[in-house]
Amino acid sequence: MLFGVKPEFDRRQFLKAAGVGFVASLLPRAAEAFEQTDVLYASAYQAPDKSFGIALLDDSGALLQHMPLPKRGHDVVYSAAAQKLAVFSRRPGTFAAIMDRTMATPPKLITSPPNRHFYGHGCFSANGKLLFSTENDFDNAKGVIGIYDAASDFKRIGEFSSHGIGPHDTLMLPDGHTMLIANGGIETHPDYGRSKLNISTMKPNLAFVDIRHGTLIERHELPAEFSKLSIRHLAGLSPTQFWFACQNQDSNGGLAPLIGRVQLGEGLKILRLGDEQTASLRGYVGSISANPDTQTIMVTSPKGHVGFEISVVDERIVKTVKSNDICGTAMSATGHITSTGFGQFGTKTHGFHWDNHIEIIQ
Amino acid sequence: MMINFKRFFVSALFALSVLPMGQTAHAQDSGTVVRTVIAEAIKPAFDAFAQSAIAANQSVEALCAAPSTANVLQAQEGFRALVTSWSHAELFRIGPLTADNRLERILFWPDRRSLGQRQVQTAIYKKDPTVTTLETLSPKSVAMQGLMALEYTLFGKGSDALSGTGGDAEFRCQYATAITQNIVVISAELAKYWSGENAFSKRWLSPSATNPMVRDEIEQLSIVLKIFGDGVEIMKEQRFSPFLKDSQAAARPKAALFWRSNMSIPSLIGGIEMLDHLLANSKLDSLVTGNHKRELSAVRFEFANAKRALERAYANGETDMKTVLANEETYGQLNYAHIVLTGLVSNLRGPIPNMFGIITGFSSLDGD
Repeated sequence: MLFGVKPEFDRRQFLKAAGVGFVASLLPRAAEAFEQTDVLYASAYQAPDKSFGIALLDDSGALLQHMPLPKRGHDVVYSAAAQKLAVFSRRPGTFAAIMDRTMATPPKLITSPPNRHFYGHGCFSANGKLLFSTENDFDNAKGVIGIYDAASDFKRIGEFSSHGIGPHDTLMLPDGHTMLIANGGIETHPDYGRSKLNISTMKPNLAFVDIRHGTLIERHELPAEFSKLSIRHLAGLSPTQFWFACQNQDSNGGLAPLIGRVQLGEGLKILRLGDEQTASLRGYVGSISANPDTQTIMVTSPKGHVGFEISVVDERIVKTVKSNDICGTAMSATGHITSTGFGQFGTKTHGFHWDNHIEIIQ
Repeated sequence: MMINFKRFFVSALFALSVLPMGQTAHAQDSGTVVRTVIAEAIKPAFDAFAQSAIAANQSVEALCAAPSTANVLQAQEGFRALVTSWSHAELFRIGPLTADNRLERILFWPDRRSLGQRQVQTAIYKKDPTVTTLETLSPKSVAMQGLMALEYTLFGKGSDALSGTGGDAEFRCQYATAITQNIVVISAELAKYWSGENAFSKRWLSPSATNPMVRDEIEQLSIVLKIFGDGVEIMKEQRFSPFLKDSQAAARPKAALFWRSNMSIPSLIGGIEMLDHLLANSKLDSLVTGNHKRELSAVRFEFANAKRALERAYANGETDMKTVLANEETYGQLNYAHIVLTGLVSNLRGPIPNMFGIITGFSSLDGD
């Protein structure tokens, strides 16, 4: 390695400065809500004073709890088994924070190794004992999955290949040993900020990987005509059916489809919306969620300021949500809850810019 | 057609600087701005690039026909003029430039693992005949057929031989000729595309609900504003940051684009000049009033600051990047220009687009 990524923050200084916020910061109704509410949500945010954090909200979008973060967070993942949350820094960030689900105590902060950075997503193992994160081995232009062990205070104990470049979102399948990885296909390097270095040759894929050995089970690529669709985000509709959402890197991409389904052993299938709906997504889906009860998925486009709830049964749009900078989405009792960068979360509006993703805590 | 402000919803919580309806005085509409941008900046930039490609090709062919020191210098000057015109045209990374890998075929950069350099060196070492004709070069790796490859043939290790007939001179000159022919073809395609109405400009000028590019006047303008935002960000992230690094001690002269031809700084100056030209001639200022006009003027002021610092770094008479970066004063000038660009990135990604009603969301950064 020639040039490592420098830590973005002084961990000790951050915890000291933030300490005041952790003491008795649980809002009065939060503890009650934990007892009374079946579903809670978590999302990263930026506060009006430009500081960053992670928040807990109830199923109406009311704020229950929030906690500062040293830099901008991105995706949040939850382990019901461990009752822990983890939030990853936005790419090319180098920290992740792990906390108990009430956020009543300071988080455990971890950093990526000097020759890696986080991509902003990850997942827990089924038993909650391991945390996985999508990471960039930037000197070798390879995607890796970092492994962090809860039993040893989330020490990094290893990694395996993501079997592609630019891994972004990832899901653990219910079998407990198969991971689905969305390899976006885009090479980046910290020396060049967020610049994309290989658009002309990018090859995104969806990889099913056995985490026990890091071996590839199946890899699915989009048809050549859609090779510039960076596969970014995933949502599981059933134990075997997964939906993915893309971001088009071809500025002349026209009406390329951005949504699809993948199943182990069956490959992928692209979902096509009408021209007007596809055009309104502006080549960019920022987040996707799935609701098994309603058999719907929700896709959001903060560039198009629109979200579509789509029935997977007949692949038709059943609801359109128009809202500026809409992006976060997660399953709700009746369908899907959404958030925006302008502060809206469900039916409530807050003084926060909500980041791209919402995690459901059940 | 005036901007439809009904689409705007801006939370008062964040006080974005979008003008409420009634406070704008639109002497022009957004379609006029787009047409002006094409006529005053894009078309002339690609025309000039095509002309300089022809000139570069002629100078290289003259060198091959009559190798001499004078003709080497002439070919090198042809390359420098080509880079200058490219530094203007490359800002318009929309439409045809981004199609069919034209951008990468002209400039394969960043080349972080020196892939292109290795391929070019190998081709010269092995005297690979397939790089010496346009027909066989153009289907090859994008890294072997553009400006980086041309720079290596004219300025790289072994280029001294070009003034004579020995060694690799003849082969190297034939390779350089094929590269310039290739750039002539690509640049002619680009100039022709922008010479009249084309598929891209047709979409750009025809907002509608089913238009995958622009559905209204706001999105028409957002492409104009994106040219500015992308331009300064590419200069900062891809051009400056890799060689400037965090300190003078850590500076890396060979990480600068076009370091072999001493065109690193002039190409940056060219980019800033074009952005300033675009802002001055786009009629964007006719869409805003009062403080917002002053904020546009402030952007031009910052362009001038960055350009002045770059010129000072370059005008020291020590134009190679190693010397420039080793000199505390000239490194300082580059550092200052980088700081100015950093501010411009922030301004041109947020407050300036917001002035035109463009919503720059918290969540819509590419790739998240």
